Amino acid sequence: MTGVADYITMVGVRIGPASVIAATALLAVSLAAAPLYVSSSATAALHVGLDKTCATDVGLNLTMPAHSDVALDTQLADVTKGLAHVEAPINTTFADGQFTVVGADGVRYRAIVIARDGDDAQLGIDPPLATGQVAVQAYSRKRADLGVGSVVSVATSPGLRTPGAVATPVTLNVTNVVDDIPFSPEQSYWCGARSGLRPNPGGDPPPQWLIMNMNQMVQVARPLRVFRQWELRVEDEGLTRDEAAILVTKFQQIADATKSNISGSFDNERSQGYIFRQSGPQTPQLSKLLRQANTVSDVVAKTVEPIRLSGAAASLLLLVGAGVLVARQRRRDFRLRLIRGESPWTLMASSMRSDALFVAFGGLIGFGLSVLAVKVFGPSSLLESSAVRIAVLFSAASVVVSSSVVGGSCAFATHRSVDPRAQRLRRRYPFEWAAVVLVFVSYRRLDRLGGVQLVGADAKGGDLLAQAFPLILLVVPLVIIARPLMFALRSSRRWGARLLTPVWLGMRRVAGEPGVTAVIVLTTALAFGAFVVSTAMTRSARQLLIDKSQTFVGADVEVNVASAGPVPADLDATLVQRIQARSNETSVDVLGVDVATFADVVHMRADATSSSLANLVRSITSSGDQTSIAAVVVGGTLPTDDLVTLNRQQLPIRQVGHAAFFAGQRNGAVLVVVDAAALTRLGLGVTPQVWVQHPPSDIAARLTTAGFTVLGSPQSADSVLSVVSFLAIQWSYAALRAFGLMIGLVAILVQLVVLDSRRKARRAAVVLTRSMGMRRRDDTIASTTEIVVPVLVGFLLAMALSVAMLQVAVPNLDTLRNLQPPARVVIDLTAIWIAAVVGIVVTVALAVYDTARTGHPIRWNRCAMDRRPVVSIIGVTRRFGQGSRSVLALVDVDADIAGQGLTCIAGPSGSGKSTLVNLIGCLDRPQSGNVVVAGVDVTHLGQRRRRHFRRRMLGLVSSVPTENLISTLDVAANVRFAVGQRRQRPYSPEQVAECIARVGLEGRESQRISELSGGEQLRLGVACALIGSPRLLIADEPTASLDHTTADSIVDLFRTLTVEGVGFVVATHDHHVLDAANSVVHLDHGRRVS
Amino acid sequence: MTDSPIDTMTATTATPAAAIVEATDVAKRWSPTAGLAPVTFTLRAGDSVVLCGRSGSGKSTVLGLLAGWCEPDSGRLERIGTWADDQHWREWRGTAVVPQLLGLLQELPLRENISLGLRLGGIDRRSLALRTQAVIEALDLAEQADRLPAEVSLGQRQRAAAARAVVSAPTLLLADEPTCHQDAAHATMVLEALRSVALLGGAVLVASHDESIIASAERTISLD
Repeated sequence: MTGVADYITMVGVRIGPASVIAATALLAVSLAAAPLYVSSSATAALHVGLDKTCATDVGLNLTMPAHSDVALDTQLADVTKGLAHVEAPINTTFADGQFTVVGADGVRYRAIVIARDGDDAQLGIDPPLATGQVAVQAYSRKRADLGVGSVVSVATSPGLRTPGAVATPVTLNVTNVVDDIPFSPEQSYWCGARSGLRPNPGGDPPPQWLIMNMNQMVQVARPLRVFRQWELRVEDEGLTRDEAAILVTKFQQIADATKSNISGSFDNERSQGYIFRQSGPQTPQLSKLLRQANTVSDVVAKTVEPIRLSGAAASLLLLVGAGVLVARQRRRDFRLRLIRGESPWTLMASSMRSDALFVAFGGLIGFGLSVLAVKVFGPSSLLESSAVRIAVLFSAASVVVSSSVVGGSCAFATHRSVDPRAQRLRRRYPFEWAAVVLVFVSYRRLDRLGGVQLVGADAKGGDLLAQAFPLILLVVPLVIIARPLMFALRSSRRWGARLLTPVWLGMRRVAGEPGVTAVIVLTTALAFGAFVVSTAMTRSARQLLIDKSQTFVGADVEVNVASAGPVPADLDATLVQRIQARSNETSVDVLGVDVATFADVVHMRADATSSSLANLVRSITSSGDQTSIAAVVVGGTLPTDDLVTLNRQQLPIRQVGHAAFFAGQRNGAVLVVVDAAALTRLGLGVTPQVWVQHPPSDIAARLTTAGFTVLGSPQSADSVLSVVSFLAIQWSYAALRAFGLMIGLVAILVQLVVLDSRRKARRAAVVLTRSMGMRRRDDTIASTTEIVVPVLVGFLLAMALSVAMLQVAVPNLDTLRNLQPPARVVIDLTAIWIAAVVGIVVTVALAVYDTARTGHPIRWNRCAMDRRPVVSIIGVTRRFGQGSRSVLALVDVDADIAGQGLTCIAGPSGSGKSTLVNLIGCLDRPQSGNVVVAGVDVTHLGQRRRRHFRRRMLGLVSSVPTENLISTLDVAANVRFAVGQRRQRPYSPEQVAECIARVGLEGRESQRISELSGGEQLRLGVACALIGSPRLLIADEPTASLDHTTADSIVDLFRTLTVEGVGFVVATHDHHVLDAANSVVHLDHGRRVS
Repeated sequence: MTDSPIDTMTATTATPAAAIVEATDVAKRWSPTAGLAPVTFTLRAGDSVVLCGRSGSGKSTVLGLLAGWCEPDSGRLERIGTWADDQHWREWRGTAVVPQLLGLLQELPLRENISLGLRLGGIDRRSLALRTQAVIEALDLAEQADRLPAEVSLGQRQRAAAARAVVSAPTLLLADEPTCHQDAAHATMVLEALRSVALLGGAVLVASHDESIIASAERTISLD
């Protein structure tokens, strides 16, 4: 364990610079990651669309006569050379007509002739087909007894030839038999020939496919017009949205340019409209996919924006905190410079220069993390160059902002401690309750606008405030809880005395700083909450798509058939019948179900009805009642149970049950579910469908074999609704997870800072508590308690808030409210467990880290004192703290202190000596009364004027000798620095030596401060304070920790200087100093006493 | 009327007038120019000794050596008696310290800081409360006892640190400048409280350059 502790101590970095780097990195991530993520989602949406769209439809298609035009081909070849993300052009030759083929059996078959670039490679034909050769499919071998060696005669189909044209059959040798070209699922290469690949819906056997080369095709197709389709497909690997947009533009340019450059030999065909039949955009599908991608990015951008703003706000707060930490490390030097009258703006500039490297490093880390996170965890790993440029700009901006904020908070935090502003009316306005208004406004907009609105494939991006609702409802309650939480913590300071001592100590640490503990609790709650909400919302959105799709279709696949019949037993299927009807003027969808099989096949959510689906179906089983049909009514009420079909047929029903929604429900109309057998008995004209669960790939063929007449293509639940829009929702809320992680890092950083600060504060006590019996194990328990309690409270708060928020937000973020079922919350328990485990691991790690870094030996220190010159105090009162815990340091004190000589302020400890001294030195302000120094009423002067006053009129010597000096400078340099701060002309070396000699330090110019004794440091501090000949020198207890010889020498110095005309005001209870005083002001319990 | 600290505290393990610590030519060098020159002294039960010397003479170093926070470079430092067995002298009831930096726990009010040693030592709650209250009153901390260290003055914090050491009735009490933030009256209170440890059979060693303390000391050890 010791080795671990040493290692941890060795690699430990200073918290101040580390927090600057971390805070800057977080700000850069907040600003830069958003455009990258939005871009990634757009590209991902584009690819989802590309995967579902035929490549032929997406690319550029130009139709032209089949005979080669060298100039045109050369032009097309040239323009495609410079294009990225396109495949080599594919030429497909086709004829304006159909073909027949006569096989070995003499039977004439309908035929389709294919000649296409790459056919050979696609079909595995090697060597490529030559003229006179043809390849057939395996289907032809079975159907027409064609095989290798067969001779076929191919001719154009009669009846479709141009008038007067003579068809000359061409005899070809079959040299290859290839596998049947699959059409379900079809390969990308063949998707452009879909119309030929699909079987005739009428049920005719598929035609014979003949594959030959281009030249052979031209010969075979005579006298038909033969054209070729020049196809330029998009290579989607690595394609970003920006690049797709460029392709759309380029394709249009190619088409326009080629059209205008067509050679004259095509004029005949051109005049008949056979060339470039397509009008309008040459790539309608690609343009549509691009539009979809842009819509998705808009949705994601609108949802991510509030997350981004929240992240930036949190980072800015962290930067302020980092600045305070840095100020704490530089407190001594900064305070001295401010006391001597330097402007906080100068300090800010100095701090910005010092921290430039850390801030730049943080910005670089932030940019790198943003890119890495989006590439790894984003919807797509492809990043648009425009997005990367924007991210770079934002990262650079974050560096500038961070530098300013850190420098500013560093300088002004120190300034506040030196010269606090006048205490105005203490503001106790509950500003956080204004955030409640924001919650209501956001909810109203969400309720009214429904967040993202989807209209078919397009969607509007949504309203920012509405989309921000989940985040707002997570953040606002935490803000409101802050004050009550701090109050509870303050009240708990005396609790827990009976707990185990280490636990009790940990609880004391938690309650000792209510503000800090509240920050840890709230950031932890926000981190956990955002993570849980994000996973729940993305999971809910994903499940919502599945639920709505399956409800819309009813099962995995629905197939329209011409007539009813028994479904094959080996299929997981059921037959339903649909009919439209009216109940008075209300449209009604009637669904007749097969009571024997329906409940076992369809998907339906359990919350659709209070009883089970099986019970519902049983309730509509035809009973003896012939006057009406038992029915379950779904999604509303009927004006009357006497329904009438659109064919005016009567359909009386008897309501036996209700459901909120039902499988097969398509729109907002009321759905009535009845026994299909009852509809059949009534002889109503119905539309039968077969619903199939887990369908095989050849479901249409299987149903055809079973005797069904399949109408159209099967409709799948996977593709019935636009997936891309739902993906947009999922991607939007995934960004919330990143926010949660970021806030989690903030919480850990705050914990580290707090632990470090507390550990340093109790460093002097650790050795003592060890000897009292506090073991290292007890330290670990105390540290663990100190860390666990706020984290646990934060976690529980997060769970409560998340569950409440999800119940409100999820139903309102339903993008298709008109489709059933309604959205419901799906809590990802795995994510909660992961979050909890991570929280435990981090807590234990922090506790180990904290314990490992404790236990440094105490360092003895000395205290020193300073003195102050003399002023007029008029009825001054000064109170510290508020309410019952406030302390009256001075009560209505009057004092006139002479301007010459040594005046002491004496009194017991706690009498208010230091407070009075600070008031005189313009380092504090009274609640009431006036302080007049050197004739100037400084009570109500602004901070800038008080700063100038200190610089010109006062010399201040701190009680700690080293706090009067810049530790990194030697003796002479300290004097020169003080000269600069007093805005004096630079001292010559002789003047510096004289100044030093004046306080008895002659010959010590080049010594470092650490090499001087306490008394010598105090002397040098006095020398620096005397530069510029201030009217008064003010000191507080300058001799407390000095031995009597040294103290005497200081008193002698004071006497000497008073003879030279310097006035001193010194707070002390040292009788050496008191004996030398010209006058003494006595204080006791804050009041002047005689 | 308050109980005297003497009435509420128990006796220590040391035998009156027996030697507790013997230091023979103990020296410690921090740097070529700073450290403790060889010093020889004996502390006995009941002693109330002031360690004096100019700044930099090594007063704090002597206290550190006696507290066990560093080892001498030369010489012999021996602890004598039952309190030296099994490293008992390292416990708070063996050696209690009033350091110049005070070392109060910022999260505990003064009362709980003062009683922490007793609590960790396993004393029963009633005795703990009685003894703590007695020493609080003896050092004029009754009004501030339930405030946090940050809410009281430096002098009051210093008295709390002294009370924390005194309340455990240690065998050896070490104090570094325990009155530097005190006025005359409170300085007297602090010294009396420290001396009460000697009256109970312990030894008290106070490092100070305060002339009044040196003048009133029963014995001094000078490092000049």
